[in-house]
Amino acid sequence: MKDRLSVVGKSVRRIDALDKVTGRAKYCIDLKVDDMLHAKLLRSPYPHARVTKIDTTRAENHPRIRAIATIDEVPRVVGYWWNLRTEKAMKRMYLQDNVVRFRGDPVLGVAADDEESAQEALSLIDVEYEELPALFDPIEAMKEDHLKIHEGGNIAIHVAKKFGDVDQGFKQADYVFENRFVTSKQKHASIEPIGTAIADYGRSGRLTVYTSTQLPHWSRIYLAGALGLPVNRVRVIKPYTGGAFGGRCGLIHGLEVMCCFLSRKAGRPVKMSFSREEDFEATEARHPFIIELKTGVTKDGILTANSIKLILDVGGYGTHYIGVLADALSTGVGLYRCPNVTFEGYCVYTNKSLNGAFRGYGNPQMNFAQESQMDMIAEKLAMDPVEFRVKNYRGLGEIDPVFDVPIRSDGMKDCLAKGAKKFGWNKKRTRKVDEGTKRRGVGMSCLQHGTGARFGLPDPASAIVMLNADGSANLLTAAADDGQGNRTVLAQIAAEELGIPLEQISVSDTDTDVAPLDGGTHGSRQTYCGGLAVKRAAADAKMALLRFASQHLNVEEKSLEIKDGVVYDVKDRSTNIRVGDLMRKVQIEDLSRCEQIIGYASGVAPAMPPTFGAHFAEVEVDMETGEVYVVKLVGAFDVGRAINPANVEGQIIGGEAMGIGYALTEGLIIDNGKIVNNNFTDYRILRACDVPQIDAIIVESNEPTGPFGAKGIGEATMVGTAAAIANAIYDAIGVRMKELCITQEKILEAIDRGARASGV
Amino acid sequence: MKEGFFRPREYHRPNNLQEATWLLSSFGKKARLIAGGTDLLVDKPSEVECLIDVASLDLDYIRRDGDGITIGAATTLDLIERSQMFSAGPYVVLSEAASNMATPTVRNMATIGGNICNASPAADLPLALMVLDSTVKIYGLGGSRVLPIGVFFEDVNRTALNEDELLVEVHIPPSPASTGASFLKLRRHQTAIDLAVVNVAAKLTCSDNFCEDARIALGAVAKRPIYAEKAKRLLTGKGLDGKLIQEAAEVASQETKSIDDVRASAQYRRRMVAVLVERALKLSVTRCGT
Repeated sequence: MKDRLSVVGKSVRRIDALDKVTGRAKYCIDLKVDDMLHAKLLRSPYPHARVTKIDTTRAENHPRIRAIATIDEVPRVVGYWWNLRTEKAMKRMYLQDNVVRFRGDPVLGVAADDEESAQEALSLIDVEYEELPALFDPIEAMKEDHLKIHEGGNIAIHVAKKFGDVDQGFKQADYVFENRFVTSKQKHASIEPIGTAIADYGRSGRLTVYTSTQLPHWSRIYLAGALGLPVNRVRVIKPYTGGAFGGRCGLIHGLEVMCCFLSRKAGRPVKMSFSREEDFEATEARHPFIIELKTGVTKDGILTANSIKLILDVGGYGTHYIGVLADALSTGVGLYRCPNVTFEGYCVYTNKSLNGAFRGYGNPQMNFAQESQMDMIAEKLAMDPVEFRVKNYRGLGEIDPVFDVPIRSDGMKDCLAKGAKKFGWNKKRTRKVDEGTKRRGVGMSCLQHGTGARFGLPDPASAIVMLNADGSANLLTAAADDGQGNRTVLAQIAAEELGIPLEQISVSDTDTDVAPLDGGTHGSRQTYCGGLAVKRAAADAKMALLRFASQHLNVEEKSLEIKDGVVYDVKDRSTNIRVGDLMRKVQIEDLSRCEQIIGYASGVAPAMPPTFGAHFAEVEVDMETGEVYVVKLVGAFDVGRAINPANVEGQIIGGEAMGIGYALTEGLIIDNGKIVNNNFTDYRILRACDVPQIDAIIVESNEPTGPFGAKGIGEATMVGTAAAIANAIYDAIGVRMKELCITQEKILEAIDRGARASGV
Repeated sequence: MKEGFFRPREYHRPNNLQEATWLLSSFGKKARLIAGGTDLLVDKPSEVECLIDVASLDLDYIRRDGDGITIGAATTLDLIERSQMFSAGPYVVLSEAASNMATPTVRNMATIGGNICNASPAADLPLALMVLDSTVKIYGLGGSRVLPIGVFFEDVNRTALNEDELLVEVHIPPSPASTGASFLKLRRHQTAIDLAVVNVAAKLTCSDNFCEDARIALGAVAKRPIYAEKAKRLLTGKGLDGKLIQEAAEVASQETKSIDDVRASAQYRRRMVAVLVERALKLSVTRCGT
C-alpha cells in the first residue's frame, strides 16, 4: 500500500511555512480590531482572601477608562468538557464568589483606551481583603477540616479502583518494592505567552472572540454559558498559535470571559494580553504528583501486584484533574500487564496557581515513578531492563483493563530493539565503569500513550471537503494547529484520499462560524481523530465525484480511481478525465446541474490506540559539582504510520528536549505562595544550544483503525524522558533520584548519601 | 508582575565626555547611560526619563601601550573575546570570561563598561579584571579619577560612580612572566547560557611550583564580586602542591557570604567555590609556564 501513496508518508513542506518564516502570519498579539480597548487585571496580592469591598470611584473618573468588571459579576470557568455532558455539571463549571485562591488570582479587569491608562487605573482602585490562612501543602490541605479552599472541601475528588486481589498478588511475589516519588510543577513555556484574546460583543448580541485556544468549539460553548448566550451567537476564531502543550486546553483563567464582560459593558472590542510573568504566575501548569508505589514481582520477572497511591496538587481551581488522574491510571499504570492492581488517587486544592492539562496529562509523572521502579526491579533480578519491559508490557491483542478494548497495533518491541541498537545499549551497559570525577551512565524507559479521549470524554471530530470548479478543494476543519503542523497533515490526508495534489487543498481558518464541531487539539488526537474525519469527508466527496465521472465516462463507479487529479478507468487508463474538467462541467457548464460537491463527516473515532515508545539516555555526572549533562538521547516511537515523517521527528526532538527540562531544570519554585522564578532567566527551559544529540526513530506498526494506519505522537515524546535520565544518573552514581526536577544540588546530596551508605 | 512602563521621553547623544557628564548631572536619577542596552532594555526601569547614548564618545577600543592594555568602556564583549590581546598569557582569562557570558547575539551588543557598571554580583568580566589588577578610569564634573576595580563595586547594582560620572576605560597592567590565569563558571546543569551559580577567576605567578603571587576573585557569593584575600595569603610565598591548593580552595569558600536564591542554596555555593577555586588554581599552574 505504501508505495501507492502519493502525499501521505512524505515530509512535505508546511502549508503555512512561508507565511510564518516571512513574518506574515498573524498571531493573537498582532491582531487589532477597530475601536479596540485594552484591558488589564488587578490580581490578588494574597494567596487566600475574601474580597470584602471594591471601590472603583476614582478609576471611573479617569477620562480614558471605559469599563470595569469585577469578581462580583464575572464567573471563572473551573471545569472542562466533561462538564458539558449534563446541564447540572455544566452549571458547576461557572464559579462565582468573592474569594481569591492564589497569589495573582484576578479580582477585576479594567478596559481603557490604551494599556497605560488601564494600568494606571488599577492603582486608583481600592480593594479591601479579609486575609484567610493559606494552604500550600496538599498533604496538609487533605487533613484540614475547617479551612476549606472550596465549599466542598479541599479534596476535589478521591478515586479508588481495584483489579484482581492485590493481597494475594503480593503473597505470590518473591520481591516487593516500595518507593515514594515526587514530581515538579512544570510550566508550558510556549514561545507565545499564554493569555492574549480579543472579545467583541456586538451591539446586536453577536460575540466574536479571537483567542489562541486548543479548543475553539468547546471554548465557544463555555463562553455561551458564561455570557448566557445561545451557542450560535458566539464565534471563536483561533489565529496562528505559538505553541500550546496543553496550556491552552480551555479558557484561560481571567482572560476571555473577562474580555467578554468588559466588551459587553463598554460596547467596544476589548483586547487583553498577559505578560510572560503573568503567564508564569497565574495560568495553568503541570500537576505536581506525590506517588507511592508498591510493586510485587516473581524472581522470573513477572509482575504479580501493583499498588499505587497518588496525590495531585490541583492548585486554587480545578479544571483537568479528573482526566489527568484517569490518564495516570489508564495510560500510565496500564502500560504493564499485572493481574492485581489497586489504584487510589486524591486531587487536592491548595492556594497556589492552578494546574491543568500539559503534554502527557498525568502520564509523565506516573511514568517517572513506574519506570524508575521497573529499573530497580530489573537490577534486583539481574535482568536487562529492556528484556524486563518486553516481558511485562501489554501488547498486541491484549485488553486494556480500564477501557476494556484490545490493542490492535503494537510496535513496542521494534521501538525497544531499534532504539537499543541505535543507542549502542548492549555495549554501553557492559562498558568499564568510570572512577574519576566525570562518570557516564546509561538508562532507558518505555511508555504508551493513548490517542484521543473517546472512552472518557466527548471526543468529536468533523470535516467538510468542498470541491471547486477547477478540481481543487477546500477543507473546512476546526482542528486547531498550535504550531505542530496538523493542518498540513490533514491537508495531506485529504489530498491522498481525493487523489489530487497537495497544492490543490486549502485548509480553512480555525473559525467556529466556518468549520464544524471538533473536540480540540489535545490527547495527540488530530492526526488520528481529525485525520479520520477528514479522510471520511474526502471519501464522501470522492464518492459523489465518481458518480458524476461514471456517468460522464460511461464506466462503472467501482472501476474508477483518481490519482494526480485525473479520474481514470483502472481497466483502461486511456478512459479518463481531469478532475478539474469534470468539476467544471458539474458546477458551471451543465446549466441543469450547477452543483458543488461537498463531502462531510462528523463523529468519534472507533478507538484510542496507544502510541508506544522507548527512550535511551546517556549522561555524564560531575561527582564534585553534581552537574549532569545529557550527552545523547534516542527516542523511538510507534506512530502507526508517519503521515509526515519530518513533523514526527520534530515532535520527537521537541518532546525529548522538553523532557530533559522536566527531568533536570524545570519546576516552578513557590515561596509562601509566590512563584519566584517567573521568567526565563530563573526558570530554565532548554535553549537550542542546550539540546544534546537526539536521534529520532519512527516505527510504523499500521494501526488498523487509523487514517492510513496512523495514531498519535505529540504527547508520548516526553513521557518517559525523565525516567530514562534518572535511570542513567543511577547507573552513573549508584544512587536513585526520586524527586523532580533533579537539580545538581540534589545529585550532590545523593552522592554524599551514597558515599555514607557504602562507608566511604 | 511589573508596574509602570518604561518610556523615556528624551534621548541624547553627547559628542564628548563633558556633554555627557553635564547631561548626567542635570538629569540625575532620571537619566541612564545606554551602550549595548542588553541590561537596560530588559530591566526597563520605569523611573528612567532620559537616555544618554555613549555611541558618539569613541569609547570602543583595545590598545596596547607601554604600560599594559587599555579597553574603552564601549568595547563589545565580542571584540574582547576575539581580540589577539587576550589570546595568550594571563590575559586569556578575560576572553574566557567574555565567552562565558550570555549569547553571541548579546555579546555583539553588550559592552565591557555596561557589564561592569551594572554591578551584578554574578557578573563574569569583573572577576577576570580583578585578578589582572585592573583599574578603571572615571570621568565626571570634577575631571577624571582612577580606581582599582576591586573597590569600584559597592553593593548589588551599586558602584562608586557619582551621579555625574561615567566609566571611560579599563586599564590592565602588564603581568610578570610565568603568570597564568583562568576563569571558571558553574551554571545550572544542561545549560550553556546562564547566570553564574558560582564563578571564579584565579591568577598565579610561580616558578618551579613556587608561588610568588596569587589572586583569586569570586562571583555570585556576596553582594559584590570579592577577592579571596586569605586564600591568596595562604598561597603566596609557598611551594604549590595539591594539598596546599585544596586548602586554599577551602579557605576561599570560607571567605564568601553566599545566599539562597532560585539558582542554588548558600551551602551549595560555598561548597562549589572550593571546587571551582581548586580547579581554577590547578589550571592556572599549568598555564604559568606558557
